[in-house]
Amino acid sequence: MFISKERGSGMGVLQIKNLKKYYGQETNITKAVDGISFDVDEGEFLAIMGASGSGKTTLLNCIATIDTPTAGFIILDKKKITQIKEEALADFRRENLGFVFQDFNLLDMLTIEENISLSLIINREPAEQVEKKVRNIAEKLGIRDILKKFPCEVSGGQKQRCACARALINHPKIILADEPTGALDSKASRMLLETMKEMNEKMNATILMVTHDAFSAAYCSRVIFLKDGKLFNEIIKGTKSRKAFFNEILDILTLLGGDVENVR
Amino acid sequence: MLGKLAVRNVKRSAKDYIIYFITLTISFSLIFALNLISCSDAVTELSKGLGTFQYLMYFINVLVLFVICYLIHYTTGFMFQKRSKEFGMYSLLGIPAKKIHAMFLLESIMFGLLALAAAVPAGFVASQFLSLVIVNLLELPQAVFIAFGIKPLALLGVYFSVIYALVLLGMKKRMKNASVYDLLYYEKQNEKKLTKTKKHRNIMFIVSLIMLTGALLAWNVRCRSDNADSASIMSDILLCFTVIIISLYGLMMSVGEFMLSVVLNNKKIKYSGDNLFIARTFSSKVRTMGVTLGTLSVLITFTLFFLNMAGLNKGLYDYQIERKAPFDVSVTDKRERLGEYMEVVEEQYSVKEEFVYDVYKDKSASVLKTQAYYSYRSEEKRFDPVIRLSDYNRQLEMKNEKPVTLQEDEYLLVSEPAGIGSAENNAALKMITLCNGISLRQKTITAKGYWLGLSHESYALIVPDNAVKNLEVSESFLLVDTNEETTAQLEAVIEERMAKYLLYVNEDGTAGDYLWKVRVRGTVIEEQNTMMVMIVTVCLYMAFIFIASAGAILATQCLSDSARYQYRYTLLSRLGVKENLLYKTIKKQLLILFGMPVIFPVMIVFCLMASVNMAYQFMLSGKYSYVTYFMGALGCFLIFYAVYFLAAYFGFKRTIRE
Repeated sequence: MFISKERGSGMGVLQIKNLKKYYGQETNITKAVDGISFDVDEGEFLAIMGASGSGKTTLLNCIATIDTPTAGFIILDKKKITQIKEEALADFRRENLGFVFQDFNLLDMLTIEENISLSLIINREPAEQVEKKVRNIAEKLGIRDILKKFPCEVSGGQKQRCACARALINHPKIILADEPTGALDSKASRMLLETMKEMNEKMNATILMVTHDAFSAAYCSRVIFLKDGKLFNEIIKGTKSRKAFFNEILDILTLLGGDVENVR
Repeated sequence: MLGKLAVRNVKRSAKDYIIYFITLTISFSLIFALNLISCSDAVTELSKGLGTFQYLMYFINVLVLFVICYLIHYTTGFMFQKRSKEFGMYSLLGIPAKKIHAMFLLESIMFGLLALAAAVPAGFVASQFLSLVIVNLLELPQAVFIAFGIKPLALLGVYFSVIYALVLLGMKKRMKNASVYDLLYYEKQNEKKLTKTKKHRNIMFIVSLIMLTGALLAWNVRCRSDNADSASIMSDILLCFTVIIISLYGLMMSVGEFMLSVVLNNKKIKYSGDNLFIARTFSSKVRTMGVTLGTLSVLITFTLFFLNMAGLNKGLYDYQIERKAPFDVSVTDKRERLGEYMEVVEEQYSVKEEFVYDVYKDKSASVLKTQAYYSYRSEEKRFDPVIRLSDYNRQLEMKNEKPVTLQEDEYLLVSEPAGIGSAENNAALKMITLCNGISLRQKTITAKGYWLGLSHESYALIVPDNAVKNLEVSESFLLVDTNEETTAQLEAVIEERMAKYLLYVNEDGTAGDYLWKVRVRGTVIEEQNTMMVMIVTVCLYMAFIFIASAGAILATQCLSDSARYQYRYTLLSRLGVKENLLYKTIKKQLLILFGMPVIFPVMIVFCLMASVNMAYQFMLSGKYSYVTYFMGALGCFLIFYAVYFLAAYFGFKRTIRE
């Protein structure tokens, strides 16, 4: 119910078609993702919301090639990622996907600069290019001053912006963010979300963010709600103000808490 | 970049794995030190028997390699699990799996190479120290310098390569099977239980206990002195050890659940202090690492066994010398030749006492025919050896022993200790008739017979002097005691000077000798010293490697757990458990984890050694001398083991405090 038309009609950078992910065997089957279909357009900032156990992270893991779906298709930039061979997955991830995690997942023995540049170095880009790109992205995300520091020497917000820079540096087709504000205080969260918004608007980055925080979701252009592994609702920001969109998200979340029929 | 990452990872891991690193370094340095010694010409020239040391070490090192392989494989697997999320992250960043695997394996090899580099100088120093110990054991006047050798270094390189080739092959397979999901969510995955239900584990505990008791009883029966020389003893020993090993695995895989059952079923224990927390923590540990604990128990059993065998060997040292060479020089040959031997001895040493006597043949062979234990004598020796009472008493006097007395119709049976039991039960030996028609009744049976060691006989009849009338002389013996301690050099001189009697050429042109006819105490002492050096060195070497591996695995496991389950202690602290009580709980927990793999091995080895003592009691100085060796071995073991325990305890505390 309440689901709008599938956006993009097959023209999106990411297409999810009837995706299913089941766990367990025979009588004990958990349907973590149960027949989900949607598209993500290029340059879109999409949030996926839902209660714990609704299938958000499983969906993200399937898109990120961390987990393999039971059925259905995931098509990224016209490639069926469910059919990519194991040996080609590393190249695929490096060229097409960027990741931002709740707990940053920075390599603590590398400096911020080295963390950002790691995938470029693996791609064997020329040293001057690497340096230029790192400085450029660090400048845009406001972390230029901390490039020589190690992760343990900077704040949580700075770490997450470093993770964003690392995700962006290869110009991936899509950035997958799993609760990026989960480990940050409100000020750092706000700063990070502003940064992601800028990444989306100024750098045309396509972002798919999993969150349970309505405030974070309000920064997105569209929000998809999951319930029990299925699509429950979808709302689009359009020309609405962020506050109005935030309130709309809260309304849907209220509905998510119980059966729709119970709400009067 | 990956190389740089690997170097930084090694640096970062160094603190976590310092115990493992030190153990690896010491293990490699011991291998190198013993290779240097066994390959050293200076050492092999110290004693004739030490030439075989090198070959013995090849064999021993194969066993040691497997244990070190296990240690490295376990710890490397552990490191991989601990850093699985990091590797998952590399994978998400687009680093190909092959490169990630290569980087981790490179790190492991770098760790090993660092240990190897540290082990070479440490091993060289250790070899000098060990040579001092060997020289001391061989009672030599001056120290031997062990030169640095290329062969031992190359051997160490080969061992290192074999170990790492095996470990890396195992790790590669393990890593290949791990998906990105497994890597990223390793910590959230449930650990696999080794057995399905609590009932299964309790049954396993009881069955294992019964099997262990059965094996120990069987061992005890087998070790009775009567059966000591039976041909099937090796297969029986192997069977007992196999059952003991299986039951140890069974016990270690089920003991946690058994302990938990005891705690849960007894309310007083359950609700007293931190018992429930400790029982739950230990049983959950055993559920997932029961096999590892079983392997550690087996290692510890062998460690204690080797240490005990080293002690036992030292205990048998005096007996072996007394048995093989009770006098400084012993010669058997025709009576008229013995004077020539005596002249050679007198040229070399000042003689304190000399004695010549005959051994007679009793062709009726009453003992030989009725006593199965002695029936292996060759065709030309189908008679009972007989010695006159006065000759026997003279030998006893030479050894400062009290002489024995016999009635005119009595005889004394001198037998090898192992044959006494069956001889005592043989009614036919109570009264015998010699081939000269004289009948004698048995006064007693004794093992006190120094003559036995001279000509490889198992028994002799000691009869009153008159009873040898008309008996044919079998052999004549010369016994000499010198004022100085003899050396192996004297035997060489005798062999050279008396070659005309000791060497011969067969009809087919091949050379033969009767060198066994001459025995010099100095040679036997040298042989025993050499044997002791080899056995004690090998036993201590293996024992140390085994303790170190077991200790390092447990300590690494504890330190990793301290980081992984830090939240448990944080929670206890938040629930109001004071810091000192928290540390007490940790200490108890570690004591159980370190103690459980030791308890069964201690009991097992004590029972094994008590049984072994039954077989060797006559050779040892006292009835309960095995207790001394056992306590000594246990003490040595606990000292080394305690170092690992303390390292784990303080490391654990440090992590919790942080």
